[in-house]
Order: sequence, then C-alpha cells, then structure tokens
Amino acid sequence: MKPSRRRFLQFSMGAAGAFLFTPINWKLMDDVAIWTQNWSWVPVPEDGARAYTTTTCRICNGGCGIKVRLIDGKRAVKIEGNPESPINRGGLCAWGAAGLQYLYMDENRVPGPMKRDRVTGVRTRLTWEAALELAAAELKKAGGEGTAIVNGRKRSTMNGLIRQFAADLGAAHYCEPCDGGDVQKAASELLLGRPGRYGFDLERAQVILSFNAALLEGWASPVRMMRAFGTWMSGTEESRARLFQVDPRASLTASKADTWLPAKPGTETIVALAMANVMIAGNMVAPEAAGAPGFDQFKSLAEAYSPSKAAELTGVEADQIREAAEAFAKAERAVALSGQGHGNTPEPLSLAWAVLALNGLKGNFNKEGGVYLTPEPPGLDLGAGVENGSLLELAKGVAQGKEKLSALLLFESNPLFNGPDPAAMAELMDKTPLVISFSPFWDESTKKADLILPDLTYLERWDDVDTPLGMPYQAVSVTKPIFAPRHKGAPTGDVLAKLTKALGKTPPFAKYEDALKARVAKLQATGHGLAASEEPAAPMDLLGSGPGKGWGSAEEAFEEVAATGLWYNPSGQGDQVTLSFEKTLEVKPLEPKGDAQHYPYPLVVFDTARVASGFYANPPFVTKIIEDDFLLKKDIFINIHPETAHALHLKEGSKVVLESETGQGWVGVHLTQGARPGVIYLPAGLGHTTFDPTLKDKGLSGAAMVEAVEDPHNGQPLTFLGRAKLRKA
Amino acid sequence: MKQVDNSKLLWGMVIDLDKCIGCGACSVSCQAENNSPFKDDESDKLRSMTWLKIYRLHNHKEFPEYREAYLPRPCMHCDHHTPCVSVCPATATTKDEEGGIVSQIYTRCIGCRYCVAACPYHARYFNWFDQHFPAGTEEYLNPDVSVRMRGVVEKCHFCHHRWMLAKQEAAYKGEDTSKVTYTPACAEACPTGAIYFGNLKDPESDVAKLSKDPRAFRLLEKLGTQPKVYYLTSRDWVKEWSDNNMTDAPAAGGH
Repeated sequence: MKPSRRRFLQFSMGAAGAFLFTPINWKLMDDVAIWTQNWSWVPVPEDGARAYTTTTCRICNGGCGIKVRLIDGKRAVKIEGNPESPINRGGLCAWGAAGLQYLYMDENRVPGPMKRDRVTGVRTRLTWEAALELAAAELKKAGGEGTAIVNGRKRSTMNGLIRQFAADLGAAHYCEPCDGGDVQKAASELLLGRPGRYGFDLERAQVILSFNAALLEGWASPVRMMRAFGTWMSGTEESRARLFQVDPRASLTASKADTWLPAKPGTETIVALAMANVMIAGNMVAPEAAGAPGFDQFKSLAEAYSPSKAAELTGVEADQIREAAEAFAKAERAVALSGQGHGNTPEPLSLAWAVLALNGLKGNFNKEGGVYLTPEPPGLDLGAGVENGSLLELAKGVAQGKEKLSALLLFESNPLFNGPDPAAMAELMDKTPLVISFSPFWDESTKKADLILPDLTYLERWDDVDTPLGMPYQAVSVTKPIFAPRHKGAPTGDVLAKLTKALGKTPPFAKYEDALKARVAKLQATGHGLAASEEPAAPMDLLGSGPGKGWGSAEEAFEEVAATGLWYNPSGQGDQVTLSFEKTLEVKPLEPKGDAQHYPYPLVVFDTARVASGFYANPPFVTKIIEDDFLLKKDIFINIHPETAHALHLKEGSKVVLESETGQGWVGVHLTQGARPGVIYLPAGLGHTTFDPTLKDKGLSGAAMVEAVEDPHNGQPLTFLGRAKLRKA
Repeated sequence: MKQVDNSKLLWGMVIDLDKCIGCGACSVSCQAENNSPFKDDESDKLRSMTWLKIYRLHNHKEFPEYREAYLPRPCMHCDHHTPCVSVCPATATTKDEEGGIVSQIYTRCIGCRYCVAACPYHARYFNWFDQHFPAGTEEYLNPDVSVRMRGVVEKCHFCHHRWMLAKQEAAYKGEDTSKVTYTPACAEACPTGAIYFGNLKDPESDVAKLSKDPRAFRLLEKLGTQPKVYYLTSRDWVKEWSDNNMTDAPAAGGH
C-alpha cells in the first residue's frame, strides 16, 4: 500500500475519531487525576465516637457557654455554642468558633517552663521542679518592695488568688489594667454613691442609646449583644426596637443602627449632656431625678449644652440629638449605655457618668428594659488590702529613676503589645532584671520574659468568668479541662500555691479547683441560683424567671455548675439607691495629646469585628476573613474621607507613612464616606511581632501610635484618641 | 430500587440581612466544621478559600449618610439549570435528587475548573496547592469531612455530612429517616439568628414562610438559576446589590 494524500487523510480522520470514541483517554485522564490526588500527606482525620463536653469560652470575659465536640474523648474537632446558656443561647462569635486554634497551633504555645538568658537570648527548657525552685529563689532575692504584679485575670476567681499572692509576697506594686467595668464602678459611685457594677436589660428595651460602645463588633459580652440585636430586629419594621449609636465613624454598629449620631471624636459626653438638656427642657425627667440632691447643679451643666450649641461642638445635628433624647425619654422601656470599643479599655469617666445620669433622668434603675444595679455575686475575699496602682505611672517612675523594680510578674497580660504606651512598657521590662510570664502563648511580653511558667489554654484548665460587663443578672461561668493538657504547662492557680509554699507561706488553696469549689460554695450559700441545665427562659422573660432555688449542698452545686458551665441568678433585683447629682463633673471635649501643628489630624484607634483586642490575639481563621481593604499582604489600611485624601493627593490603596509622636509605620489608605473628613481612623489589634505567620509582622499596632490621654476625672489612660500625620515616604 | 420522592424535600436557606452584622461567626464556623486550610497570607481574595464569604455592601451615600451592610454568600445550590453541574465533564458535581444539595465529589474532580468559570456567584474554589496544616492543627480536623487534595474544586455543601449523621441517628433509633432535619454549622453559630435553614417544601418551616416574605429576594434572579438561598432586607439599597443591572452604581465595593 502506497502512502498517498488520500490514505493519510483517512488515517488521520480515523485516528481522530478513534481518539474521541475510545474510553482509554478518559480512563487515563481519570487515573491521572486520582493519582495526582492521592498524596500520602493529605491528612485523613481519624474517626471515632463523637461526644460533646460543655464548658465556657474564655477568649474574652463574655462568659459564653460552649460545647466542644470530641472524637473518642481525645481530639477536640469543633466548638459550638451551648443553647442552654442564657448568655449566648447557642450563638458564637468568630473568635469563639476558632477557639481550637488557640489550643492546637503549636507554634503559638509555650511548650513548658523555660528560662531565657538576657544577653544571648538563648532559652533553656526547665522541669517544673527546677522552674519553681528558680522562681521562688529569684522572688525571695527580689523582695516584695521591688516586685510588681500585672493581673490580666481580674474577671475570674483567679483574681483573688493573684491578689493573695501579691499580699503574701508583699508586692509593692499591683496593677489591674483598667477596663469598661472600672469606669462603670466609678460612675456609679459618683451618681449613686455606690461603687458597684450595673447591667442593661437590652433584650426588653425599645429604644437603645449607645455611646461609642462597639455593640456589634464585640463589646462586653459579644454574643449576648449580637443576640439582643437579633431580638431588636425581629418583627415588623414598626415594632422593632430603635438603636441610636453615637460613634466617631460609620462603624458596623453605627451602620446597623436606626440612627447614627456622628460625633467628633472625644465629644460624646457633650452629646449625652445635650440629650439631658432636651429631657430637662421638655419636662421629661422622672420625679425622683428632679428631686434628687444637686439636680439644679446638673441642670445648669446641661443647660450649657443646648442641642444647637452641642451641634456646633460635636458635629451631630441638633435635630438628631432632639430626636434621640425624645425617643429615649418617651419610650416605655429605654436604656442608655456607654463603652469604648470592645470594652477592654476604658471610656472617659465623664461619658460613663453622663450616660448613667441620662438613665437617672429617665428613672431607669432596676426597671424592665432599663439599668439593673446588680451587685457582683459573692467572692472569696482574698488579698484584702492590696491596692490597685497604675502600670503606666510605675513605668514612668522607673524610667525617671524614681522607682526601681527587681521583678515583674505578668498574668495573662501583654503590656508590650497592648500597652498602655508599649514603648514605656518595653523600657520598664528592660530595666527590670527579672520578668516572669505565666502566659500559655508566645506573645510579645512572654518572648521577652526571663522566666516563663506557662499556663494552659482555657480548654485545658479550670477557670471561671465573673458576671460579664453589661449583664443585668449575676452569672459565674465555669470553664473546665476537656482533656489532659497538650503541652507541659500547668494551671497558674496551682503554680501560685506551690510558689507560695516555696516562699514559706501558706497558700489559701492547694489547687485552683479547690478555690473554684469554695467560690461555688459561696454561691450555693446564697440559697439561689440556676445552672444552665435546660433551655433558658426566653430573652424577654429571663429577668422575670426568678432567682432559682439553689442547691442542697455545695458539692451538689459544684457538680451541676461544672457540668453545665454556668451559675446564674436572674432575679431581676438590684441595689436600692438614691440618686445624687451633687458630684457634678466638669465636662470638656477630650483633647488628644501631641503637637497639633506637627500632627494635624486626630487619630482614632477603633476596635473591629475581625480583630481581637484583648489578651488573646487573632486566630488564623479570623485573620483569614479580614477584608483586603483592611489588611493587604503586610499592610493595614487607615480609613480616611475622600476629601482628606484629596487634600493630601492620596488615592485608594496609596501607601503612606502614618506618623505620631510615639511611632510610625507604613499603612495603606482606604477611602470611605464612613470617615469624618479630617480624621484618621486606624483599626486596633494588628501589628504583632510574634505569633504564627498569619499574624506576625502584619499591620501597625494602634496602641503604639497613641500617646495615652490621662482621664481628667480618674487619671486612667485613654488610648483611643491621638494625633498623627501622613506623609508619602 | 425505590424511587426517591423528591417532591417533599428541598433544603434551603434564608439569611436576614437586617439581622446580619457581618461578624464572621458563620464563616469561621464553616471553616472549622469543614476542615478548611489557611495560608500565611490570605489577603489575596482570589486565592482565599472561604466557602461562606461575607461581602461588604454600602449605600453609595456621603458622610454622614453613609452606611454599610454585610451579605454572607454560601453556595446558592441553584435548583434550575445548575450552572456548575451543567458544565462538569466528570460528574464530580451533582444536584442531589433528594434535598437538592449541589454536592462536590473531590475524588471525581479532574480539576478542569469549568465549574469555577460557570458559577455566577463565585462560590467555587480551586486548590492550586496542597493544603497545609501547621504543626498541631491536624489534630482538630473533623473526621466527617474529607480534607481536599491539590487539583480539585471545593465549595459549600450545606454541611451535607450533618444531614447524613442525622439520618444515621434516626435510622439507629428506628425513626423515619426522610423526616430528619439538621442545621449547617453557619446557621448554628450565627449569634443574631440571621440564618435560617430547613425544608423549603415544608410549608410549616421557617424557610418556606420567610422565602415568601415581601422582604425576600435572591441573588441574580434574572439568570433563572433558582437559588435555594434567599435573603431578606428592608433596606432598598441592600436589595439593589442583588442584581448588578438594577442600578447604574459601580459594582465594586469591598469584599
């Protein structure tokens, strides 16, 4: 057969046809696909019996009940909300849902006790015996007068144990970072003569005035706030609750609110006083407030801020102020609250006081849909006489050579990152010869510590959360170990007992679990209380559901509270008080520090729904969902108004240097109409220099960019407002 | 073989955007439930795999009238001419006869990515690289969901495995397996109660009632793909984003 053009074409056609019709190609392709997929390194998770264990999330102080799904009791694979907890009712926040990453990200965990040589930076692993011996010897050498304790676990029974340890040590300095709860207490003391906590009956309120609290980004007890919002938004548009948000930017809460009152940063107190002005002028004041001592004094203060005057000062339209004040005053059930971001840092005392005064004018105390003056549930009363001092003052004293520290003990506290004033904290740590960290994580401060006695994560230890901020009923949530610890950490409560013994003193409890049992015994002794053992009453009915009958014995109580994760007392009772306006504060807009000439723009550092702001840093799953106009590669984006950008010849996505008196760094520029012209907004919580690569060296730390303003009324550092400038390289 | 009566079961979701605050609990819960990986840098959103992605919308207004809203986007589980199913040459993605879930069978997927191109909702993600689980994190992997391999497409499957588990449990207890209900991880976690899930064909279910709410709409309805994910909103500007052509405002606007 001779090759010919015809034959060649026939052959080609035949081959093409055969190729299309034979299954061999498809079979081969399929095999290749399977082969390329079956790599030995693709993990196959081991299967086993599924079971849930109930405990409490400890990432923030919100006290949410959680259920952890375990496989064969040895692997935790998922965290879900506990529907039986009245606090979160089965809901979770993003951080809570990613909780297992705190447990299992090995590179973020301190594997066991270790010491670090300051000169070489070399770390040596120690046994617990050796570590405790070393710690005891060093603490003896340092002596109480040279020792400072920073306690980041104030909302737990651990607080008492750490205070007692400070007392036993004779520590000269004891610091609990100030948060929203402390400001509440101070405000309550001023207005009600009672330095106690209070909570808000948000679920039943029809009108909610929120001043700066990041209600929907994770304020106080985040999931409870979000649940309450879900309740407000239920029903028809007419029957829904109305939320008024005073906020310096179109935050998530401001966007979702019915009305956003865009106050210039630092002028929120004036907005509150202008609302008081409207209420007083319109005779919308409750008789007990109008007859309260010092009312005239308060009245004359409020009179200075008519809505139009306030509009000038704050940038909020007078009509909006009137509308909000009238809605608040006329609603049957309305509540006003204040906060700063997530509530981990304080708002100005004048703001908390003015907002509490609004509630006073409404006659809102211990009333449905109002403010409940619920006291703290009974505690262990340990460490009496230990005075709480300011860490920033101490750092300044050491820097100026007025004070000398020989040892600094950090309990779930990362001052190098969270501040206040991280630079001052770095100097403090440098000048202190011995820094001991009890952190389970490689946070910035722990990396610099000379001795690490690592705790366990909240999923591996006993712990508890005292009544969360804003809660109108008493609640103590209990955390218990879900299985044996993953690393060679040890619960700090137990470690403190051993250290106390080594120092020749008697610890109040041999281990933390005993302290917790004693605490629950105190709760049981009240004769009241419920456990989260069945579906809680509907949010609207919870406070009316009664205080519960309690338990016959402390053992019984502990067993049920530990099993269900919560003791609570929704009695709907609060402290009886008399209102007094005699201690009226002088009110001025908050002035950021820094030279206005050099740093022309106010800088607002804000908390967001995607970045954690407390001791627990952002887990990878949450960092993953941060938008790319917020964090791109390693750059964090500031938010500015297009007009501001135009004046500086900047565009969306431009890279600039953000500079303030205390720091500088590269940032991206995101233009948004949600920003007030002439103000720079920087998201808080990024800019870590440690942790895994999803978080390390990303963005710029807000805490490092702001020079804290001292609150004129209580001296606490206010860290959300500073001054800055932008320059192109 | 017994014919499955597919007239009684149709899984669907309703997301109330008035309640949604974009907190991300649904998205993170989804990742934790479904063994999603994470990379050191996830800011390249075209390469970032989030089955339930949250879009940020805004009302195009100026300060201080500017407002933002969030829109969580799982797979729409299109009921009609499901675009991805139509183009898949390997039958790796199918619409279940019972329940109507659009599933993805990883081991059948040949990685051609036709479905990625066909999906009008960008709900599909391709594994360009091996998934990496940093030391320790393999421990938290959920045995009910396969870890995906390089070269395959993955997507939201309405936590199909939870349905299977619920059916198993019902069978074990001797109950009617066709009557089981279940909740996907996102709906379970949602702190504001914005996500409803259930049987669209059961007139008593929340989803059936809410899908007929006057506030209800679906994304890109004009395509006729009949998504089984409904959204609710009372804000017109939120609804306008559901169809790119309903407004002449620019389509860009965050992620």
